[in-house]
Amino acid sequence: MKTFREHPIVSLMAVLTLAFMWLPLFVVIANSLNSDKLLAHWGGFTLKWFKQAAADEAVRSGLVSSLEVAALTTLVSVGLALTGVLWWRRASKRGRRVYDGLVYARIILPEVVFGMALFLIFTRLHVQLGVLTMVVGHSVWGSAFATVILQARIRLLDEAVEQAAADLYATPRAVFVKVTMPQLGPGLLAASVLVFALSFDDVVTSFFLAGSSVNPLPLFVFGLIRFHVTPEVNAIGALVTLSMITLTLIAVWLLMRLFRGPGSIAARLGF
Amino acid sequence: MGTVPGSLNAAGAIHAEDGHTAGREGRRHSPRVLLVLPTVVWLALFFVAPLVLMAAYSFGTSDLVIYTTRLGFTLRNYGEMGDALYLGAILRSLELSAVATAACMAIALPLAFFTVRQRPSVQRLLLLATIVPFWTSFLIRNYAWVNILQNEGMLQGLLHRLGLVHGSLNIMYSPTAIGIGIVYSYLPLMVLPVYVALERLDPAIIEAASDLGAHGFSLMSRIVIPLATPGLIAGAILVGIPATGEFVIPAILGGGKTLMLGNVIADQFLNVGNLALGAAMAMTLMTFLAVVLVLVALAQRTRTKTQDADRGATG
Repeated sequence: MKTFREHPIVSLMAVLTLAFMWLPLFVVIANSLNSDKLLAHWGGFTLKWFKQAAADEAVRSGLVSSLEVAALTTLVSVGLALTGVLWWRRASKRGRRVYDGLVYARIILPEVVFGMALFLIFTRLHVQLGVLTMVVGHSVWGSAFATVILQARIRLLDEAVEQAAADLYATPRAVFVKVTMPQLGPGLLAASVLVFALSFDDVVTSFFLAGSSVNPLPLFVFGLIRFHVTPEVNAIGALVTLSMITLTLIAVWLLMRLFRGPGSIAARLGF
Repeated sequence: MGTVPGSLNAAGAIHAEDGHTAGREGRRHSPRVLLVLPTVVWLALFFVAPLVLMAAYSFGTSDLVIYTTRLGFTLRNYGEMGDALYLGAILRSLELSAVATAACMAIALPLAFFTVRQRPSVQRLLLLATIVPFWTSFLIRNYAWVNILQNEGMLQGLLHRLGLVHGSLNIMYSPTAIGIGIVYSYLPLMVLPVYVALERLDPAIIEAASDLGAHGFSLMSRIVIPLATPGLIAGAILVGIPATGEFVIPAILGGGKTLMLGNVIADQFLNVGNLALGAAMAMTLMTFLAVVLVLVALAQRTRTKTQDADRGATG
């Protein structure tokens, strides 16, 4: 029998906290459909902000360059993370510690710091700022996030299975292609989705590395927000929010399936 | 970066010894190190080298007229940070980050505790509800707070209707608004580690404490908080460190009036062109954060040691 009863205040606080976390998302979606220009009151239903956003050339070209950067970043980050983790798996204790330290450093170092550092080196070497420099910058932290997810996955791999395949005369290549990779597959997909989402959403690193010729969507939106509230931002925001929620649900669902049991997900994501 | 090549060799050597799979195919020397090579090259070029160059810039001199920076050795940039404008931004960053971290702890604890106490399927749902907003556009979520907090906005409307407040709210474009934005944006990074810390402990402990008469406040302060401490520390690092260098939130919710260090750094880059000064500020931020991390690591080590000693004494 359960002798402990939930404390009502704890439960109430938990529910309020969840409401606090979700409220702004609903506000953005609601306001994207609000015809009141100042967004102070509900002025009736409209789709005009969506039309206005869709017709905006800057929004369209921003979206294209953001997608481009996010796709390339995902490719580079997951590639670096995968090869790195395959090494890490059998590396010495000291090697692992250095590797883990570098992963951790890339995740917690304020983006402002290395955004600026990368800007300095690129301008010093006269590298033209643009899509590629953004991809480089995003991949520095993107590969770290991808690594954390892949490490979590690879820790669960049963080495005995690979060993058995090798004992049955599978070549190392066959072991890798037929045994290791299929087991890593869902982890790779989850890592890709999360890196893509992070890169697509990034402001700070792009702020330093975009240069003047490219204006990715978050930077465009950031520019609009800093100077005034425009309803158009809510429409872009609603679309971005809904697609990112979908992406995240896919990624988290994959992770939950991978790690069965709720506790292990967070734990194995490195928290 | 000096330790990396050494450790790679060590790793290679160890692999050659255990080379079970590789050895069978006569590939004892299979270059496992090649696997980590892309990462090493990438990080050397795009992580370590830029930070080293930034360190060099921080001792250099920027010419604001021709927009170039000469390397050299001067401490003038660091001295210039004592200027009231910059010092104010540094202190404000530390204060906002500390207060926001504490607020995150206070808010995250009940949610994490509540989550741990549920059935596994409900736990999963609650975790999903915690993680999903976090992975959703950072920019848009903070922008949403502009709609909520601005004068004539939703919060003011609500408070007026309830008759709690008359006149303008004046929260927007203030340190309070930035604080709300930071707490809101980083909260999941506190909830998750606290949840993990609480999840590892035996529910029987809480049952026992409650059977022995610990309820409400005493249960929280004497049982739950001490047990959640490792999670709270991990959360404080994940929240406090990035929050100190935050740049987007103050730019949106502070409206350029309330500056944090991140904005001042970005401003050197964007408007002023004093890259040497910006580099010095970034270096200061990084050094300060590194010192905090080392102190936390040392404190944790002492704590574990004392605990081990205690266990040794009782057992």
